[in-house]
Amino acid sequence: MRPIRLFRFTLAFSLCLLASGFIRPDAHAEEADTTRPLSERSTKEILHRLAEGVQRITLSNGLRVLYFRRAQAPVFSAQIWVKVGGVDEVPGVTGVAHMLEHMAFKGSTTIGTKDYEKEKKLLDQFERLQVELEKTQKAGEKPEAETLANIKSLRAKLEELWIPNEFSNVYQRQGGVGLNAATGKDYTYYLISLPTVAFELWAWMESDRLLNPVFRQFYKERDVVLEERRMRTDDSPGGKLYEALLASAFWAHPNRLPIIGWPSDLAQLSVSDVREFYKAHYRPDNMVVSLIGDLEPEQVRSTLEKYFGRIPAATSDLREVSVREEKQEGARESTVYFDAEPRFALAYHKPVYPLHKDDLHFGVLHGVLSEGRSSIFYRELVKEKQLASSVSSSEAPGERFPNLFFVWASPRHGVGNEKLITAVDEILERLKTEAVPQKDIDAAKKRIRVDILNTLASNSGLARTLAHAELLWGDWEVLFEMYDTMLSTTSDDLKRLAQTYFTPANRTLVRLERRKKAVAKEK
Amino acid sequence: MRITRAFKTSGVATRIGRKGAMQAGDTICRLTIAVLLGASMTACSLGSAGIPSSPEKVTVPEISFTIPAPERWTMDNGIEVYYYHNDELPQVRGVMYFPGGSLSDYSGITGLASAVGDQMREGATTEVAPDDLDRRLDSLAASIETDFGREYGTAGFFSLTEDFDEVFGLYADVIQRPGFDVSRLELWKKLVANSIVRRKDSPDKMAGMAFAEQIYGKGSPFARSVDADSLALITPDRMRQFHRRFVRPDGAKLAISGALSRKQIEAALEKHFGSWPEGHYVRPSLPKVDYTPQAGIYVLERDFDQATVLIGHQGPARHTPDQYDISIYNRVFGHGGFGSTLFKEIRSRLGLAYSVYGGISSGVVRGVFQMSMGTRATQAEKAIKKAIELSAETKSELPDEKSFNDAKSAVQRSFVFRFASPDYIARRAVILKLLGYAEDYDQTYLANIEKVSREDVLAVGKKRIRPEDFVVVVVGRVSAEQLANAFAGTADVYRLDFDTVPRVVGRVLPTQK
Repeated sequence: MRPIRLFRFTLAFSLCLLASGFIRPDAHAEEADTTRPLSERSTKEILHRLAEGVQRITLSNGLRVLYFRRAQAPVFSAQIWVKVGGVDEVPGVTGVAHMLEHMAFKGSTTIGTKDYEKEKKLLDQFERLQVELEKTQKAGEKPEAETLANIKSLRAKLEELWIPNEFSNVYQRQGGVGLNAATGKDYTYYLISLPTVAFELWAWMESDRLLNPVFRQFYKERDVVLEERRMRTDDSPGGKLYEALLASAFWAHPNRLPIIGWPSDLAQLSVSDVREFYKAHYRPDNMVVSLIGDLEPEQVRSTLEKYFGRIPAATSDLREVSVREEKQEGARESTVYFDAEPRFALAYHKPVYPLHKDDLHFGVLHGVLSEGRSSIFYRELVKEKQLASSVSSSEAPGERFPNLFFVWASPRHGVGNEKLITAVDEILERLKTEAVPQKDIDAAKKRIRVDILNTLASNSGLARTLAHAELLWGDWEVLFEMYDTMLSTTSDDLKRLAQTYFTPANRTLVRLERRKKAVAKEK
Repeated sequence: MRITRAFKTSGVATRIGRKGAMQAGDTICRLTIAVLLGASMTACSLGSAGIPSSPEKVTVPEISFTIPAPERWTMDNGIEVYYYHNDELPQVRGVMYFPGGSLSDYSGITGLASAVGDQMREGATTEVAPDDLDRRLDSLAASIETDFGREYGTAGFFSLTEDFDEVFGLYADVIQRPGFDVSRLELWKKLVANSIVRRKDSPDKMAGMAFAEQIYGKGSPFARSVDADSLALITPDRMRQFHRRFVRPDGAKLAISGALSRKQIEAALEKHFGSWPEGHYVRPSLPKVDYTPQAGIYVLERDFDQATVLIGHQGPARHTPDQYDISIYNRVFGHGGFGSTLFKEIRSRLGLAYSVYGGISSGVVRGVFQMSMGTRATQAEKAIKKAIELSAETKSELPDEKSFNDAKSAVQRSFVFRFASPDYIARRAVILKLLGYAEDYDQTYLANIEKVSREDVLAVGKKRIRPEDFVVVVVGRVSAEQLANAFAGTADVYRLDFDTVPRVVGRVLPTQK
């Protein structure tokens, strides 16, 4: 599933690793080069060029920078990835990783304020009173009029000092586009594209926000996030279904928690929660920077050292997620009532790379099942049996820890969930015994190659691919091995996946349905 | 193929930099443009370790780049070709644009244009059956997609260079010889019928439909939506007639880019499109908009925690003299993301919405001024009042200098990104031509933006924003009665219903003063 973003109306892109990245053709291709289709040869050439062109700079504080020069236009894309997300949260403070991502746009001791020294004193007082107020309210008591008046007057004074959204204004003034950030289960990342001439400015801004962040305007931003939750989850049938699916499929692992947070947690999140989370996770050895575009190698190195080298190295150990999901021992089913047309999600636990290479074969399975009009799901369920209005397969919610293979489906009006569930089950069951035709597997692999090429085509796509792999697996070049494995997938592999994972005990099914009329009356 | 018209436009060097650069004598005829810009270029005052103490003190040099231009030529049958060579990756992609769409379809059948748009590709060709086309394209990891909108239709393809010949042949068939397969049409109708039922699952969809209807009038070509009755009227014969009228070489424009030479592209075009005859049907003129909207607040009470709110009225047609002023107005007011007034006030300062934006969009006959937001239902009244107040202020107050300068600088300095994707360069040129932009639109853009003053932005507000005409649509767990009371004396409140289309039930009168 895609991570949730700071900002709604920018172009959405799907963040599905299995359909992005680079491949290295197998060794046999070397000898028989001319007989291979052009796409493979070219893909190989492109990848070699890429592998040679990507430079990794590791600063003395442990920050890794991946850099690739592309001079098509005098612009560059920059991304900063932090290995922290929803899985690093615990019940009670769910949503803090995403809240922090929002707060990272509020400025620093220099940006967003007219006078930080003055502001700091007021801000400290304001926070103290606000925490007190929320404690009182939580206890069901009436807050004192004096406290309320003090909060109001402090807020008014602070507003005098604040320069709202200055962080983004500085970028936009210099032609920055695509300023945004996203939080997933495994990572949080910040992105922007700028004209090349603003490279040093970028380094100034990003190193400043890492060094001197000020989490101002917290309580209003918390309201904004609650609005975001209403939009994405509470008022969205898809959002509700997804939240319920994770909570049903995972019992122990934080994969079960919504990235955006439970409403009751969000409502009492505090600035100190955010600050603590920031200190624990936003450290140079837990981040990767990627820079793609029209930049000079020497300029990149010296600028990075000058600006990001200032960030002190971490001295403590990183906090690790220790809890592991126990093996599921029995089918789980649940229902979400929502006043919308029915739909359902069906999920099976599966392992993730690098612990298990089966993860990679799933990439081909998705292609065979749900990519293109001749894929099995679309062909049988939409075109032939005409049971579904849409049906797709995917993986969620993250990649650092064992995740889920899942099927999302909406039955056609009047068909209802049950018929479509049966039809999906039949397909998954059939995969256990019948071989997927080789030509379908070949088509899926060719599509993977094309997707890889398309990812390379844009600066931001390349920046994302490199940083993501480096952050999650420690070395972006694992992508070569991953794609080799993915492209070696055979029909036996697909059969084995189905037999191993699509078992009744490993299954979670969540239906979204309208509440029955009689039940509705009780409400 | 004889090239009847070939004009290879030179690239235009553009510099965006400091004030004063214009006086350096760069002229349009030398195809070099320099643009004034208040970019800060303060001498570096360095702090510790040579780090400037604020971003204003970081040196940001001028932006200098050449506007890339596609090669252009016209085929004998009228297809205009815009070609941009890009061999970074072994692939080719193209989009052919056809003028005309649902607005100029006088058949009176809502949905016919989109049916043709979908079924040209979906219904395959007279030579190849739909399932075979699906399988063949999937096996090549290629794609062909078609669509018809209000103003124009598109047919696009993507292919690896190694499969180009085959894919381009299929592409030409889809465009010239669509099969309009009956069973695929039936499937499409069922899926559309299904999406009609699902409209009421989506507050955005319902609000958008209700808003369009209030702005342009029920049944207007700008507002109407397909329904069961109009679906029943769509037949393969009617689609063929529409196709004959609108999908034809004269007027068509192809944007194509990739790792093939111009010679290869020309040969392929001649082979597959050279004998395609011109059309005869005179494309009808666009419909008029002569509807006077009924201002007021239209409320659809639905069980959503968040109220979806749309506010606005009709706006200007494209190519108005103040189009550059409008660009800056929009950027300052509500299209500028974090920096815009709507975002700063309604999201950042008041915490009322996650998604909030607004501005003037010019359209082919009429445009629209529209503000959009999602706010918790209990705060809807406050958010609506605030948005109206902010938009009204743009009629009486100059934009503050900083916001204005930031907006202008943002528009100018981000201009380079319009040309940053090689695959978009040819497409962009075609779209500008198709929508009637002047030949030198890109070349003069920065200078035109530079001319905009704060007074011009205020003039946009004065001329274009009319709060008294606002149509407000609210969908969510709100009470029409409460809103009627809250807005008593300032706006009339109407109750809406929605099954598959919006319907005004009646006016809700305030019950108290």
